[in-house]
Amino acid sequence: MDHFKSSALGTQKIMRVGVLIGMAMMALASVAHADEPSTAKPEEAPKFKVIKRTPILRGDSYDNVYSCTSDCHSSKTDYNPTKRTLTDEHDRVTDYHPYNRHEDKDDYRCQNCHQAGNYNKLTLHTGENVTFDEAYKICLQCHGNYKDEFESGIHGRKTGRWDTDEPTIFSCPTCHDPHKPTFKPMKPNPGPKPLHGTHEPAEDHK
Amino acid sequence: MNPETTEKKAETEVETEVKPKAKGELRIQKRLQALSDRFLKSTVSRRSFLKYVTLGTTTAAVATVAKVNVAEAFELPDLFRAHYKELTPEEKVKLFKKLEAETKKKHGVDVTIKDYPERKDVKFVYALNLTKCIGCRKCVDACVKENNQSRDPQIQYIKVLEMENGSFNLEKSNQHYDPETVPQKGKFYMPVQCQHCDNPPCVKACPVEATWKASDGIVEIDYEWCIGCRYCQAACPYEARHFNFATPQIPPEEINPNQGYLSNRIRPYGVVEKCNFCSHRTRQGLLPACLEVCPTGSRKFGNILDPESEVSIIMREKRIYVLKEELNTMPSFIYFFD
Repeated sequence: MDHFKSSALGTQKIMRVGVLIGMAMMALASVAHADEPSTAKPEEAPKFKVIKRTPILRGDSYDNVYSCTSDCHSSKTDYNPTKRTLTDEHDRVTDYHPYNRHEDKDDYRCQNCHQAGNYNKLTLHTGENVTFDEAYKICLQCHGNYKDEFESGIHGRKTGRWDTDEPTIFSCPTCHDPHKPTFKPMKPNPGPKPLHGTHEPAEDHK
Repeated sequence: MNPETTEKKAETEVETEVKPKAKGELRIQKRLQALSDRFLKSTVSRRSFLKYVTLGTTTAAVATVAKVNVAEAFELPDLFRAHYKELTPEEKVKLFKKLEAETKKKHGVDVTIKDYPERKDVKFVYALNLTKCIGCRKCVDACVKENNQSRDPQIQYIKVLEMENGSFNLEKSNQHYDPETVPQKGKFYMPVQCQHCDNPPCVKACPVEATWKASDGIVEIDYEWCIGCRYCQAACPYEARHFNFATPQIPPEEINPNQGYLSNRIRPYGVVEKCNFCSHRTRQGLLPACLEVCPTGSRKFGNILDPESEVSIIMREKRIYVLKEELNTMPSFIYFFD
């Protein structure tokens, strides 16, 4: 029995040493890995041109797209920054994306995307302020699964030339309303004329 | 009247009109000479003598008395035209000028007809996202306007098929759907146009080589060389080809003035036409009209030889569907899913 115990302890010791060695190796590897980004080149600028949104949004006066100040809030800085469930007065914004999608509503407020104090500017999670021209950056913060497809042009619309190194693509809000992003159904254009009325689709083909 | 003299008369008339300098006209002269030689040597049978007499007298009468161009009066095609591949640059310029003048006369619109030669080291491929397409037919409309398609009788290159989810029966598809809004629940939409096959049955069927596969992947048609036999239309498994049963009717204000000789110039009566990947746009680097207008971004176009192009990435990374793959037509038009 004793002999067995001591041997078990021995294996335990060996395992501990092994774990220590393993951890040391991992630490070394991580250090080596951490070195890599510093030696790598800075992130390359995106190889595409996104169509600017600000000229489309009410011409030059895009500063007034969101005007909470007109009816309720007295100034642009007059708002309650605490996380809370929005009260009745905010009914018309509570069905907005992403507020309407998530159960934990307190975490989703206008200020997640809009700049506190000026809702006509946007704020990234990093704290960087951007205009509506770079709204796609806001979208890609949560919808990162579309980042590659968007940047390579597979998801989204392109315009201009196909043989250029810097293609022109449309920003996300061109097609998706940021507050109701589901693509809206639309009326189709009229179909082809039936030939002399004889080529109407048969009943079972409809 | 002697048929020989009438024929000779007509021939001299033609000869006086042409200037002997140009290469193509020399060829025409030679052809005329050969024709007349053969005609003079052949013996006229008793049975066909009357035919020659009536034919000769009527043409002579029309040509001399009424002083009108026979070809114009009856909208006859130019019988002494040349194949696109045989045209020299000077002949092209001359021909395009002539066609521009004809368009001005017929439709009252100033247009520019140009030649867009093949792109080198390019292979065009089109990809269409079946998950995203909502069947709004905006592409159909843009295509009709861009390519000067006949409004009456109606010709549309793109056919949008509505099918039940979970099925892929083209015979049960409906292209006459007209709901209030699209997409409808439980349906999906599949636009079909010329697939620009690498192994094109239409090209094999053409008896006069009026249609051919260009090196950049576009299947082209020479409208001047087409004889309107419609063999290609019967050979195409995608119903992509359309025949001009009548002279195309287009409102003058809707005519696209930037025209390509092999693509979107207004077609004459009695020729076959089809989608040409907007070769007058794509060969100068622009995107096709149907792609530009698609509101869902489901249409992708590019050079498959470029590994960084969208279509190359789609080919590598997406699930691909090839329409009627079993026919071995090898289309340059692929469908994909998200």
